Amino acid sequence: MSKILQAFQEHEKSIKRIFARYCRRAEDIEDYTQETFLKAFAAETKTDIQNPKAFLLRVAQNLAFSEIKRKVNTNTDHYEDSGGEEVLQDERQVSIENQIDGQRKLVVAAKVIASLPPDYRRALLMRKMEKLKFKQIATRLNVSLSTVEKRVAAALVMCNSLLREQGYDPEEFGSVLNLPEPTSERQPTERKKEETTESEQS
Amino acid sequence: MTTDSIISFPDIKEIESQAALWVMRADENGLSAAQKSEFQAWLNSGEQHREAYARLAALWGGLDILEELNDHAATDSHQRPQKPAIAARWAGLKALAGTLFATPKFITAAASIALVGILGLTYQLINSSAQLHQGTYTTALGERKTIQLPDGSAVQLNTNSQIDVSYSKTQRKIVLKYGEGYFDVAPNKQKPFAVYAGNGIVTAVGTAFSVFLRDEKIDVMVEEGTVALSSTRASTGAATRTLTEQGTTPQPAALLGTVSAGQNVIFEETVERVDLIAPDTVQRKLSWREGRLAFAGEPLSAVVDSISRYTDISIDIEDSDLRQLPIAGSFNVGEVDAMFEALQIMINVRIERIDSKHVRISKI
Repeated sequence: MSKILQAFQEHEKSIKRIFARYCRRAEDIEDYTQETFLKAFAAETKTDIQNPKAFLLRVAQNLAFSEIKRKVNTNTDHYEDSGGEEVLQDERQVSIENQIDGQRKLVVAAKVIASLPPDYRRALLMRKMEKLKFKQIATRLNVSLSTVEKRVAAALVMCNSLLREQGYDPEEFGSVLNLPEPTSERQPTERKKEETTESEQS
Repeated sequence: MTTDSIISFPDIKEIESQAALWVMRADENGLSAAQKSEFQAWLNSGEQHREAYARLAALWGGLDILEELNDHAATDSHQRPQKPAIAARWAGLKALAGTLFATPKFITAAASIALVGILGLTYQLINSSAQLHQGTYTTALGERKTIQLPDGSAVQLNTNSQIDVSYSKTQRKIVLKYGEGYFDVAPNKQKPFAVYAGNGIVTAVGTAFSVFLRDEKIDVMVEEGTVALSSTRASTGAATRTLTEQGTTPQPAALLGTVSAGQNVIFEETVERVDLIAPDTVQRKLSWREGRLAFAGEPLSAVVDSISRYTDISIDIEDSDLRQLPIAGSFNVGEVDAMFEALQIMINVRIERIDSKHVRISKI
């Protein structure tokens, strides 16, 4: 398990307390707390973090500070955001929900990846985060191509099991917009969900 | 329900490991002919094999979301987007679009394009001045083509498409007569780059986007930067033809709005829909540029619609359940037989050739 994830699990309450000073809504506190993990874990994929607990708390504190700043400026921000010209907005609620889902999904995925053994985690992140080819990963890690394939394949199997253990449906990760699972019989009630994905079907 | 029931199927773990390896092999280079038959034999040797493969392939595609971790690393903790859940991704995307412009990568790309231009490999009709350029470029069914323009911009034409290019002193004008193009525009504030398609105009200064003219509708997806949309329909009555006539300069009608990186807009006279799409989805939808069609859960009917753009063979799906079947995977475009073969392997359907121009997909 990654150091950041371990420290996050141990100190999640302290992180929440930092945000609780500035936010009232439990959902906001939760969102900021998860975002703290994402930022810290993203940083961990780039460098070795010596003191994970201190790092997490610092990220949280910075996040909280900028949140205060934002609140002070909220009224003006709102108008400035449109930048004076008309910006097309997605009016459909569904799509906003999908975005939130996307963020939560990223948190779940990042936590699962963070729980993998380091070798597997590194290979998988090189493929999916850095978008390297297996050959490039093999060169970087100085191992054979088949070793890379095996590691990433093993990482995929582990992700699948971990997601299941945590009560998630791994297939939910199979499409950006949460299509119903492939093998099941279609129910008429699922039709509604599909309509929101038309743009995917070009 | 207890762990006993898991232990009583000891081969599940082994099946998953094998399935995961097949996912890796299929993802990296596609399968060789020998591997394909090995893979098919493996899939056919048990329903569990097929299920494990489908599940892991879907998860593998879904893990593309990890690319977004890059955005979180980039924004760090100095500036905060407005709201944690919704806005974070947008701030990341915008930052990404901003940096892409400034990076050496962009400059290198422009330089290499210029080099190709110097070698004289590409353009067919050039007026005496290098910046005045006219030409018509066409792709046949199943064909793809990259056109390097003298200003350093590049156009990739998808199957069955045609563009007219006319560069004047004041404007870089492209008329997309039919089909789909991806435009990687060299920045030049003095000369806007305008793509006319149907009744719409997509204008950019320097950016990368695709335009797909489907029936009368214009489908625009922006990968980098921002483009402006306008329609000619509102001002002129029956203006369908005027756009495609050479020499006429239709007045850009009212600005409909702007589209930023990561947005997909369908418009004609007005904007019909706007979708925010994740970076991996953008890449998947643009995978035709690398000669591949990639899907992550789109129904078979949509996959067949996509494939149909590359061939004159008409494809029928017999069964309505089958039409809804989600497909995850990628195909090499143009190799139509191989695409059918891949479909057959992936989803276990019967594919019949009725005659040389007609294929039927049905349940086994």
